[in-house]
Amino acid sequence: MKQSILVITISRIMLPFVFLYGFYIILHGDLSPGGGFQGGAILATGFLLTYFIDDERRVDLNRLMRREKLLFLAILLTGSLSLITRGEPFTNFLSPDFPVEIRRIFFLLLNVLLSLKVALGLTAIVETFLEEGQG
Amino acid sequence: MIPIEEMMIPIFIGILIALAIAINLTNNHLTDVFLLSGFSLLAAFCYVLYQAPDVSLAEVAVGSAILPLIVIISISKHRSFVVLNLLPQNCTMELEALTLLQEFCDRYRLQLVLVSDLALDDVEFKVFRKRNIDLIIESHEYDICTFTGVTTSLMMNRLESRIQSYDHFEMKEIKEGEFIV
Repeated sequence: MKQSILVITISRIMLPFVFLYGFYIILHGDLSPGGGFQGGAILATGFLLTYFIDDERRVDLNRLMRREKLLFLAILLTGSLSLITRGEPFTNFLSPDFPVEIRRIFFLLLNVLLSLKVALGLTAIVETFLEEGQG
Repeated sequence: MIPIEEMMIPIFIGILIALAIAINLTNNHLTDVFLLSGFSLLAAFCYVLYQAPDVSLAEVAVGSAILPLIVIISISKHRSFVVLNLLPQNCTMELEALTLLQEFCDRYRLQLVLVSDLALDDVEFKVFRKRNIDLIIESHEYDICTFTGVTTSLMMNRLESRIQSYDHFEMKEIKEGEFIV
């Protein structure tokens, strides 16, 4: 179906702001409301807008799923890093002696990984819908 | 003295209930999407009033952005337009109707799929899934061709405005899930 030129133009204008807001929510997730899931959902919204801009756009579903599984492994590994550095699993891998600004790195890392996983997962859901509809 | 935030909560919950009833009563898919995203936005506002900004952000992102986008993208990526042709073969009326439909499909970049008889359909469609018919063209009376379609489909409104300029074509609408064959 042909897209209206208004929809395409508005999507093009909105796209960078949606991504900016998503990254803002992810990077401030440990201090203010928001975090990995919410930011990831906003990133996925921005990514879905590209379906409006490009009519023929398709994403390889298998590649999406594989990246999502790899990110899940990365989240588990980040959690288990503390087993090496501090001797107990699933806590912050930096010891409590460091100041808060440095210990924050753990939460930032987890939030970024989680948000990417959520964004890929939501995009995979939409892609599955499209693949079903075109068969 | 009750703070003004707490006084607003019953009003918002009343609007939420009204919206939820309206979502159940509408038949149009596009109106449904708009009402649903409005419902999510108001619900998110209620979460803020109950001091849960975190939940509210998730509600806004999923309920009023992702969900409508999924529905709208799925509709806009619709590629084929399946027409069940029950007109007598090779008459001028069939030719005229098919020309109109082909022109309509070219305009919205759809692929016109013509099915003449459901019994002669492919084995794949008979056994594994049901053929989803968008439009049925038939003629019960001499000289009048009836276009029958589902009311909820967005295509039907556009097709109806195209058909109005012809006198011997008429539009008939049925509800979803209703059988006429």
